[in-house]
Amino acid sequence: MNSETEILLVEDNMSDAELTIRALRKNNLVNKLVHLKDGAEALDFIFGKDGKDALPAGRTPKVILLDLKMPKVDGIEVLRRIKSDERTKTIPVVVLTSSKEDPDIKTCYALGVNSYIVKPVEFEQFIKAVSDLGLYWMILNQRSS
Amino acid sequence: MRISGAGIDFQALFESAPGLFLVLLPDLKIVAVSDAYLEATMTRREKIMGRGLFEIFPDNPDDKTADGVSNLRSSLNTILKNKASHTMAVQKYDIRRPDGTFEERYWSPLNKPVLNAKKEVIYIIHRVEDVTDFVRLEKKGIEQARLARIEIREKSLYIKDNEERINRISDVLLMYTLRDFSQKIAVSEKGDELDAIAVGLNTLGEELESHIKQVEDSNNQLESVNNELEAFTYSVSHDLRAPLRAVNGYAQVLVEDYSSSLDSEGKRILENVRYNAAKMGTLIDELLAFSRLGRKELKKTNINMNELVEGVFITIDKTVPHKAEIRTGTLHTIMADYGLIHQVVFNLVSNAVKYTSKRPKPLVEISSEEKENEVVFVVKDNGAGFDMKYAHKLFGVFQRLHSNEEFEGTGVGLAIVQRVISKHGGRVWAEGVQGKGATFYFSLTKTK
Repeated sequence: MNSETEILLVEDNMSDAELTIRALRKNNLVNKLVHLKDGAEALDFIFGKDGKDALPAGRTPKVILLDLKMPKVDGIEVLRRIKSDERTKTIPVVVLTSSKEDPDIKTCYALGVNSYIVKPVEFEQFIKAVSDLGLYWMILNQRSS
Repeated sequence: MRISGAGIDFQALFESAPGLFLVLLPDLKIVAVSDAYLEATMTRREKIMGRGLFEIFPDNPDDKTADGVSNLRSSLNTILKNKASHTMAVQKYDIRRPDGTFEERYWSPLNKPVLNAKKEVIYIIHRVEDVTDFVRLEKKGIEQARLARIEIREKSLYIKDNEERINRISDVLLMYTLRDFSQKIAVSEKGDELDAIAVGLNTLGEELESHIKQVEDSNNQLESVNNELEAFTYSVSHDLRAPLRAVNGYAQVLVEDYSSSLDSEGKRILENVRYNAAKMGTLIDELLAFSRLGRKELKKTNINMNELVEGVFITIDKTVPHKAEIRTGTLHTIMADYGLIHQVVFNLVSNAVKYTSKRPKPLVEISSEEKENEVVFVVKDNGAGFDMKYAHKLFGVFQRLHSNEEFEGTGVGLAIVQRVISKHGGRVWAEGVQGKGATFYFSLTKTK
């Protein structure tokens, strides 16, 4: 019934992306997940190719999993754009980092990120992050449907 | 004029009298003079008899302040009027030499009127004493005293000046010790020892300043090379994580989804892949931790080392299973970064319990010792020890003296110890005997 994007994964490393998707799927998480390979694709997806008019219909994800180190447009820039736009600032963003000591995490919190997950993304970590954001209902709904 | 009576030659007596006498008429014409007077005034009787007093004894025209004539005239007028003797103050009254030049003279004059029966002044006796020598002596004394005062003033100025110069020199020296070379010592033109010292110190200051600047420059270069190296290490270890995650992740997939297709040898090999990937993960984590050390600012506080060591024991008991007996003496308090020193003590003590784990009675002793400028902490164990010929390798990154099979480890722990202690300005060193235990030392400069 729900055709909207529920999870947007922005990750340039194909292995990380594959293993993340697998970890979520393996635990029967069947929400609609879209994988994009860099920040530029993510901005096009969220804001539309030609920029600032109406957001593309049906494309507001419930949660965004965002890698930080990406070519072209990095995760910090994507986060900045999302959190500085009235239409998108309420979308929960979880950044993916390779270390909890990453100094970028501080920058992300300053920009309004909602949470972070240290890679590899394991199902339990994901569940904890989305639960902490009050989005657990989203997963429960999908698992029961 | 002849004065005679009773056969006595009064004129001869008067002229031979031991004193300087001049006799004047009321109109100040000279009528008699003693030989002594003639001698003292460098005159001759026949040249002055019957002449006017001031014609013979005028003021010295070269002495603009000469007032002998006017003072004498005023004294003579007074006695003519009052008909009484008058003693004058000591007078400067220069005497004309036969060649016409003047000679400085001082006189003590007394003027006495000689009255007739009608109380009229008929003569004036003018008696003087030549006090030139006394006056000169007195003047000399005054002059000497004046000169002495000037000399004393100059000497005390000299002493005061030297004192100021010495103070200045010691001030500048003090600033040198504080590494401030901005001040120069002024060099006077006296060319004395203090000037020599000033010139020497000024040169020394310039040399020290340039030396220190050179040292600072090379320190800055070293610092920037270090920073680059740390940034590089950080970024490399970050980048190494990604493929490692993939190796781990895919191996995990094989274990979870394909183990039924693998025989026991395949599973063993897969397990080795996972073990080594995990090991590499640990290495990268420690390398990252090591590189973070370099960038971390020290936050020094007063540390009660006994409390810190107790905290370390709690962490060790939780994370490293061991049976070692640990003895701790009373430890000195130090000023250092709590978190980093905790890390140092943790690394040393966890090493000690690790390398004593194969002993029947593992023992670790922690103590501290106060030296002149530093406090030395000692962690001693009776464990595996090491050969002193490899001691130089102990503190290098990824350097190990034991195989992983003997004792597990990554070779970062002691490198971190050295890094932390050298960041604090202290030293680390170790002593060991193969098979008989090791002793590790680190020193921290004493807080004042």
